[in-house]
Amino acid sequence: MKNPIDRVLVETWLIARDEAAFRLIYYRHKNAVWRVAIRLCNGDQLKAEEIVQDTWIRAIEKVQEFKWQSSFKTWLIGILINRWREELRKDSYLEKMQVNIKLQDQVYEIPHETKMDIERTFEALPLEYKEVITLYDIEGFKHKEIAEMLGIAEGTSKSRLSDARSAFKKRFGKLVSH
Amino acid sequence: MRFYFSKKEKKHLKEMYQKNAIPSYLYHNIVSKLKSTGYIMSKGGSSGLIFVKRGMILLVAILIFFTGYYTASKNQHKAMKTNRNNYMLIVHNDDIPPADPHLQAKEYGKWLTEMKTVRIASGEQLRENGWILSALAGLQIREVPSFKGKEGIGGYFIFEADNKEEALQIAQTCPHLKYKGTIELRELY
Repeated sequence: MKNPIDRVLVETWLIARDEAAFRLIYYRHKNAVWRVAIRLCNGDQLKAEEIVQDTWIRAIEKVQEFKWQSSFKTWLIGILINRWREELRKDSYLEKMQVNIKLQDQVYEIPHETKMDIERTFEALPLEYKEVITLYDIEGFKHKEIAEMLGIAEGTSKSRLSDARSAFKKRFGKLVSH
Repeated sequence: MRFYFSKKEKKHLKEMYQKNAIPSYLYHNIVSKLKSTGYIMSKGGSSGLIFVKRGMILLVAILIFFTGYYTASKNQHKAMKTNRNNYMLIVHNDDIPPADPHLQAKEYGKWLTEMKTVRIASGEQLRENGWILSALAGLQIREVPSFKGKEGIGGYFIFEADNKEEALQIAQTCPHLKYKGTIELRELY
């Protein structure tokens, strides 16, 4: 069984429906959920809060249907990504993100291999690249888990990561050679 | 061509948005929303409290089980457990009062701890109060004033052993015999 503790906590919550059991589940995964959300939202705190809140509510609403074939965390992050993609489908939000990226590129004049350069390069990546880098390189999920979260084949996750890293390197190289 | 992130890049990527900490009010927002939709029972209702208590008891019991399982699995002797039997050592109360009950209990605890280093074992001392439930003529519950005396049980140990001979050998090292007490060894299913 994957992460029996999660299952025990969820089963307990399903019996008791009380806050104490939920709190234990929440505190086990709150940081991972938040980190992914804030990265995908390019540091947009308000948007990340909205997405995280909806993720937890949806997870609780659907947890009875969860088959425990993947880990609870993988399933939770999958919900988060779906929620984030819904947000992206709202044209206004996507436009806002793209405008921000353009602005960042314009003001970027003297690049160095600094934290800020890396952040800007990451933020300017295509959204699907940002997903795999966040999940694999930053959060340490395996390709199998990422495939489950994103609803893609494991091989696609691998090739997408390779493309994402390549895109990052090219963009970063371009920035630092200005 | 394959690309990998350098350590520095990876470090910076991990440190991104660290200043954007998860706000504490987010948890309260989520909980209040779940309460308003009925997914979390509000405190105060009597049925809610019963659920909370039952849930927490269950939670604690299951967590103890898993913690115990984890500890047991880490035990270097865990591999031996598959072909072993479980035995219960019942410690009878005896008329002879212990010279120093505190010291005696400590000695029993030490014996159990030593046993745990080589096998899976547990044990508890029983309090003197107790209740007898009988369903012979309808359910009857009577309080037993004291379990003192030879008929009473003072505690028990459960441990693993390869066979009856080994279990008997272990039983003979029980400190209760040193105090001229009586112990009873039973094999568990």
